[in-house]
Amino acid sequence: MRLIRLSLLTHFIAAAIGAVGVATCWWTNAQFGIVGAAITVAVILIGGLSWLIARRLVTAISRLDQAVTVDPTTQVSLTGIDEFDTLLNHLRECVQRWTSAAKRSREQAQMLDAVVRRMDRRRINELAGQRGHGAEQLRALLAGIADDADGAIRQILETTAEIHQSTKEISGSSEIRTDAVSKATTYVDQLSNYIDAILRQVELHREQQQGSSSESDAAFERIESLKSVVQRQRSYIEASESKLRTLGDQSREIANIAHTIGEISSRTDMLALNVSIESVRTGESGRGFTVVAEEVRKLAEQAARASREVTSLVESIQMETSSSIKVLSTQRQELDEEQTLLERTNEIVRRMTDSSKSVAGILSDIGQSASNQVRLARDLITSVERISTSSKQERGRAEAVAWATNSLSGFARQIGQALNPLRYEDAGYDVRVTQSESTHSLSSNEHLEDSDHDLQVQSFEPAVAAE
Amino acid sequence: MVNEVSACDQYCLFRTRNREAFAVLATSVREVMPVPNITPIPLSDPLLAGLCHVRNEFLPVVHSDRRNNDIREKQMMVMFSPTGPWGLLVENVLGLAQLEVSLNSVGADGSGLSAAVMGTASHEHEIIRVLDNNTLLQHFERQLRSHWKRINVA
Repeated sequence: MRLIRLSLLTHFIAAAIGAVGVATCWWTNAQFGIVGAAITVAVILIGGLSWLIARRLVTAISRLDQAVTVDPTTQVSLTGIDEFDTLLNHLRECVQRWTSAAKRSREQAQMLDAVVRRMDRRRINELAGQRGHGAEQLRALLAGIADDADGAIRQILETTAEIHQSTKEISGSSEIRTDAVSKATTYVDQLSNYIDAILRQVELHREQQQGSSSESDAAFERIESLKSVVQRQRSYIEASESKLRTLGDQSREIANIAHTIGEISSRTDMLALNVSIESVRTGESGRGFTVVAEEVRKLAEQAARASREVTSLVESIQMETSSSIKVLSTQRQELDEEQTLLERTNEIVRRMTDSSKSVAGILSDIGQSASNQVRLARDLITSVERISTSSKQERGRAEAVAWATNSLSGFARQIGQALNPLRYEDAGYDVRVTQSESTHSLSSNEHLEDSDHDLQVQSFEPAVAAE
Repeated sequence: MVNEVSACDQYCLFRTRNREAFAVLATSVREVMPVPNITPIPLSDPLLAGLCHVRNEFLPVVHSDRRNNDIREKQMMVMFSPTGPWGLLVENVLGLAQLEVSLNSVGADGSGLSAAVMGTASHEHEIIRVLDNNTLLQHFERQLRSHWKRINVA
């Protein structure tokens, strides 16, 4: 009905706006067509907006009604969140209990109505002349009515106690859930902080890995340059060794030539000696030959001396050359070993670079996973906060239900007290509905446990006959 | 038989393998040459190195040092003799020189070259023993004959 009134109100406002527009046009002599079109559009927009709002409200009400009217014995997942579904199921159970309690209350009201009508009929019969044992019959009738009413009140009180217990349980579980949600929020918060720390560490390690990767690249380039230098040195050494070997061969040839010169000088010396001997044997006429032979012999001796010196020098050159060749060979071997070491170092650096790249990839994956975990943790915190809000709302509803049950128990007690005069005083029963703290009142911000409404249905105790 | 020598004749100086210096008359030397191929003669005294072929002649060659029978000398002196030229293996020929020889009596009782020393001279602060060519040859012939006689070859 409220929606209909709201719809009528919005339509009435739209009509009023249209009328005001027409009146304004009339009084201001404006162009009636343009203003009328604007008014029409405004009216259509307002009407459509009100229709849309009414439609949304009707849809929301139907969904709530559907959620409440679902069979409470079937666990339905309406929201997809277990806590919400549990709360909603609790609400549906409460609604069902309230519905059954209202049903029983209606039945008891019908029973009371029937008793009242029966009393009215008996009063009519009594007035009709059945006056012999009327008082006794009336008392018996009233006692029976009181018994029936007691039974109905007892049922009401039992139901009320059950509702109260259920609301207490709901409130208790809601509080426990609130505490659990608070702890879970704290834990998730800590987890998020830990994941943030892990993320920062991963980022730091990734930066370090990138730095080490660049250093590995620089080391790789240096090793390559060292390899080229070693190769160049090796080629230089090989060239020097080859030149020294050539020099050794040439010096050997020089030594051979010097040896030949020495032999020639020796032969010359011998020839000069023979000439001298021959000139001596010749006598006075061969004296000039003796002088020439002596000069030739001196020249031969000088040539032999020079040849010996050349041979000595060549031998020293050959020794130095062979020593240099040995040194160069040793250096070449050392360079070969250095080159082998550089190859191994190069391989090690390449492996280190590959492993650092794979580690950087793994760190990137870890960082991505940590970011996803942080986002999920934040979503989880949001869901947990929603659950907490829902728990608080549930608790408020449970407190409202407790208030209602309290009122209902008071009403039942009043009915019981009203029926007390109708009982037999000597052999009847006394139904007393007591409330331990009848004057206690619940405030909206008090806990249900603190209110301690001990609704108790005391059993039908036999009334002690006063007489 | 001793050659007649003057006090200032030209002499040919040579050195043996044991570094001893000797001299002979230069006129008794035909030539000096490197050691040619020498063919050893069987059943001969080790003093005789063998025969060699020089300038269409077969020359007997003897060692200057009896202690060294193997041929290690570098030069050979070809000597004149009335029976023909012959070779003497020496370490090296030092050259010709004029020597003032103090003559001695020929020591026929010596062995080797010492058996033919006819005098001594001084040359460049060294004592040179001067040999007589013919006495040396006769000494060698006696040595060879006695050897062959000893082994009953002659």
